[in-house]
Amino acid sequence: MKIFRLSLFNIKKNKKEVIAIIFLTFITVFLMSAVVSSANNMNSAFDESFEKTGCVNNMIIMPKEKYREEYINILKEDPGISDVKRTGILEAMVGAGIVRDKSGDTIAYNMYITTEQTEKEYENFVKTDMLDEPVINNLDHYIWLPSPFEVTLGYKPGETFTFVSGGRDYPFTIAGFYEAGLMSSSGYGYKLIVSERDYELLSYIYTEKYCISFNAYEEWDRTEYFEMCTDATGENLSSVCYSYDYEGEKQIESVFLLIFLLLSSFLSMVTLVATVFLIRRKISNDIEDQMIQIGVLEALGYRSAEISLAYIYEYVFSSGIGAVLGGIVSVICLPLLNGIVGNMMGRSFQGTKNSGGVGIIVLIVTLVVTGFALLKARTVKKFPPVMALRKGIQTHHFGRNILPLEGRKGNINVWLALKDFFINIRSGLGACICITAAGAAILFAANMLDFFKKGTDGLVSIMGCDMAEEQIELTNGVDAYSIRDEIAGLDGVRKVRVSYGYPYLKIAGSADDATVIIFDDFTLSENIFTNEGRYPEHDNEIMISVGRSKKEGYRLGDSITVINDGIEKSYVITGIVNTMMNGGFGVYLTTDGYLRINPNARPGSVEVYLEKDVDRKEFENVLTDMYGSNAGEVRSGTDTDGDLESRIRRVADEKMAVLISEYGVTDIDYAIHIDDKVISGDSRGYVIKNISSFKDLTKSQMEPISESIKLYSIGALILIALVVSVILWIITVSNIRRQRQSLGIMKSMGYSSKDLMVQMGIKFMPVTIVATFFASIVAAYLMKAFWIMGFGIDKGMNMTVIVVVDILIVLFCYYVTYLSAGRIKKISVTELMTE
Amino acid sequence: MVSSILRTEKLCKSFSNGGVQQHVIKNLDLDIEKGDFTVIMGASGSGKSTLLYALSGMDKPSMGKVFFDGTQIQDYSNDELAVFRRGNCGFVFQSVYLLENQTVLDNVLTGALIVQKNTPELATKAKELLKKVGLKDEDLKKYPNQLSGGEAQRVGIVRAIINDPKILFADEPTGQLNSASGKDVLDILSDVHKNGQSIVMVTHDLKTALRATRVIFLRDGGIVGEYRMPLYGTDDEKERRSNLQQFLDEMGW
Repeated sequence: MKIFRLSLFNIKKNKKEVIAIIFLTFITVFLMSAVVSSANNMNSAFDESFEKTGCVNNMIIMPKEKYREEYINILKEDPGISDVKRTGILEAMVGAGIVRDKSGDTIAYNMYITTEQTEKEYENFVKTDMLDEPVINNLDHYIWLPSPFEVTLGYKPGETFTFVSGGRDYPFTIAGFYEAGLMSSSGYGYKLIVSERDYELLSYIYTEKYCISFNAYEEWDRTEYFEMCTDATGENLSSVCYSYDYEGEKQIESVFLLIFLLLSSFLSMVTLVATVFLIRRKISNDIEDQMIQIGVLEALGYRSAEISLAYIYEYVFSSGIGAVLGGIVSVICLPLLNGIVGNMMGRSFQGTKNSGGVGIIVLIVTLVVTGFALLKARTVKKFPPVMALRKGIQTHHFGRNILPLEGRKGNINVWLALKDFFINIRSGLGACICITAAGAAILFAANMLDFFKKGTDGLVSIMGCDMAEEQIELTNGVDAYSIRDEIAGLDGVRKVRVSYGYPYLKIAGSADDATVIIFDDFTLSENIFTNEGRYPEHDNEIMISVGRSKKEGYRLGDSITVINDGIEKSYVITGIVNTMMNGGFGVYLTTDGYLRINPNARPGSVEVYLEKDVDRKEFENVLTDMYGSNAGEVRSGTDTDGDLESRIRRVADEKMAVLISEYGVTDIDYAIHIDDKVISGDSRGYVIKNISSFKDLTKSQMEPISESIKLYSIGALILIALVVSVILWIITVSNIRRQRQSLGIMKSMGYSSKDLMVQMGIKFMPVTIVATFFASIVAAYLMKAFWIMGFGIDKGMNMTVIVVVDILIVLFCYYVTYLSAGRIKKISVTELMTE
Repeated sequence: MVSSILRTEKLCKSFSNGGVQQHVIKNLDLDIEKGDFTVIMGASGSGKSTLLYALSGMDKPSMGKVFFDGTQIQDYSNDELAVFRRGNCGFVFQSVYLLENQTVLDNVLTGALIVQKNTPELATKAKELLKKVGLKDEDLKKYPNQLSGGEAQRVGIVRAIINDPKILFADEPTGQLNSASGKDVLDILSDVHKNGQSIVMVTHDLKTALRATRVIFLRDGGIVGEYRMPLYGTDDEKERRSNLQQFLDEMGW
């Protein structure tokens, strides 16, 4: 009973420290529960949603002209594959799918557009939120959007959704939202559903492709299928199609959530380590402080194990309360967490309450804390009664005199602080581990914040390809080099380069095809930076991505075989580069290098780099004045005004535009005989096939990611700063209690409270400096893992940020310790000495 | 004319004990002259130590004024008092209060370096003073727990005088020492006093009080009697003891 009373006395005496430990265990359990619940829900959110949609698990989209009946037949012959269908679908990818966002700015999405009837060939068309049926029936142009537009992007039924093409707006009213199994992410693209009539209209704007949809078994190998297709037709299907499947969709929707979960679990580990360390430190100080009391209890016949318990009850109580509160709050917050999970995956999700899991976490954290407390409290047995009554003679320092004061130059406070630090250096070990963990988290969050502070600029900088303001796709037969030279002479144009686009090539022995980035001279690129080696210069040289290097084991100097339509060429790897293109699997060839593997290739577009202050819309108008309307724009014309001849000419123009932009026709002449009149024309006025902006697409895909990471980083920084403050406050308060007599003696000698506070602050600095150094190393590995996992790139840390944050951490720790030591001011000399 | 180093006017000090105010020092007027060896005596609870701490700036009075060398110090902040103490006062405590993690020499230097620059002369002075009070070279590297009570108190005295304070305060410096060690400590204090050091000491021991040139007797927080004596060693010790005993008897000690 006496022991329990001692425990209660300690709790009562150290109320603030008890609250601090409650806070730390609360945060630990809350974060751990959130991570476990979210990890479970991440899986179920996708699986539940996908199952509800009844969606086929594979879709392959290809140009109509590349379609061969063999592709379907191979699938139909496989007994494990069912529901094989071929449908038409409109594609608006890689900058072509421009819409007007809510603020009126244009933004690009990867989009597919289909009809309600075709949608039902893919899945059940499960509507989640919609206008009333009669309202929809009265709408001229309505559209169904996949749920991420509502859940993540905040659109509402009845709002306007506007496609933008050729300088014209095509507004649609949002009829509602639906759950899409596949094509429900910004990376892979969204599937939008319109009426048959509007599909027809939009087919003038966007290219219609074929979609082969089917349900495949788990072991089905797409690479093997593509090889069978090539064997059957002699054509390389994989280089001309986009493939969508269940696993890929799940991965792309959950990759960032997974990263956040990993970061959150790291944060929870930081708080757990901090809690355990604090408790051990505090028990150590309490034992030293209460040594005589321990001696008295031992003299009265209490066993050391029983006395140890006095120090355990306190922490079972405080950590137990913190853990239970953390568990309760996490269960209460579960709907909110599910909302965040759903939001990040773009799927509406209810989730389940995993109270059992939370209970286990509460128990584990309490047991871990108690276990570590018990281990430390057992040190009581090292002090038999006589030693304890003599205030534990072992606690005194009889060793070498570290930093003797004789002859020391400089500030006495600094020397006294350092002397005390070295005498008690062992007690700094725990603090060092604690600050290392917290410091690593701070450095990581600070680096993230620095990288994402300017929105998508940071991500754009690691795209691994140039981001020209305008991609101008030319009609077949147009000389890209002469167009380049003409556009280069326009006002506001900084640079123009001809482009072969971003073709796909197959890599021998690899399941990951490669998008090829082609430059005449890579030294003129603005956003391609080698990680190792150099740019390719000759036609037998290639540069590969970090992702491919890591996954497939290629190193500088290795050879890599590239395949295109049956041609195989070997290239020497001269460089390894960070790129997010093609999921981090892009390759880089010089123009000559590309022509080796694709000798018939001709540059089909130009990329225009504009000056900063140039308005892109005005620039596009200049292009229209120079080259006439682009084919994409002409074919979307729907005007019915004008006399018969002008209407006939307009229809003829539209037909030509479709033939040029969609079927690759290079030259068209037409003559129409009506009564006694001949109306004739040709296609030679068409130069531009389409204008798009890769930059816009990048913005739409990356902005939500960069914003989420930015907000997360700010939250993490605040949380860790709070945790570090609590740690330092408890350590300082505990140190003051343990050293109160020494502090009183110092005060009596004339050391002011400020002197002693400075000493307290400085005493902690060696620990902070060493811990910050280790934290920088840990953070470097964390960052490396983050970039590789999340973006497939090997990105170093910003050294300036590291140095600045390291200094800030040291200063922050100094000032928190200094301010925490402020209670010295409140204690008079006599109180300190005689308490 | 001998000038005053320390003076109080209507000095009061009270403590709150369970909500009840206890007035330990009441309207006390006191004048301590430079070079005096003043001993404050009185029964337990009479306010001796409280008065010592209030006079030395270790604690703030509840009311009244304290003048040190003509300057009022009672309204100083804690940090101002610390600066005041480091420049003007030395302290010798009954429990010695050496810093346990520091060697004998470092204990002395810790007190010195807050006031003086760390010069070779300072270390030499500290070592000489330590030798003067009877400590050997090897003792200088010892830690407080390796010293006897008398040795520790001698270190305490050196630490108190290393900065040549204007006044030395001692709170029952022999209270925890055996008679031989106590005599050594008192001899050191007498020597220091003979060199012109002003000393204010609290004691309840007659032998200790014999070293004084002035004895003040405290009762219920006020001065009820005062007795002056010649410099210790300049008169007959038996007669000195008898006269002091007589004074204390009169005070009801």
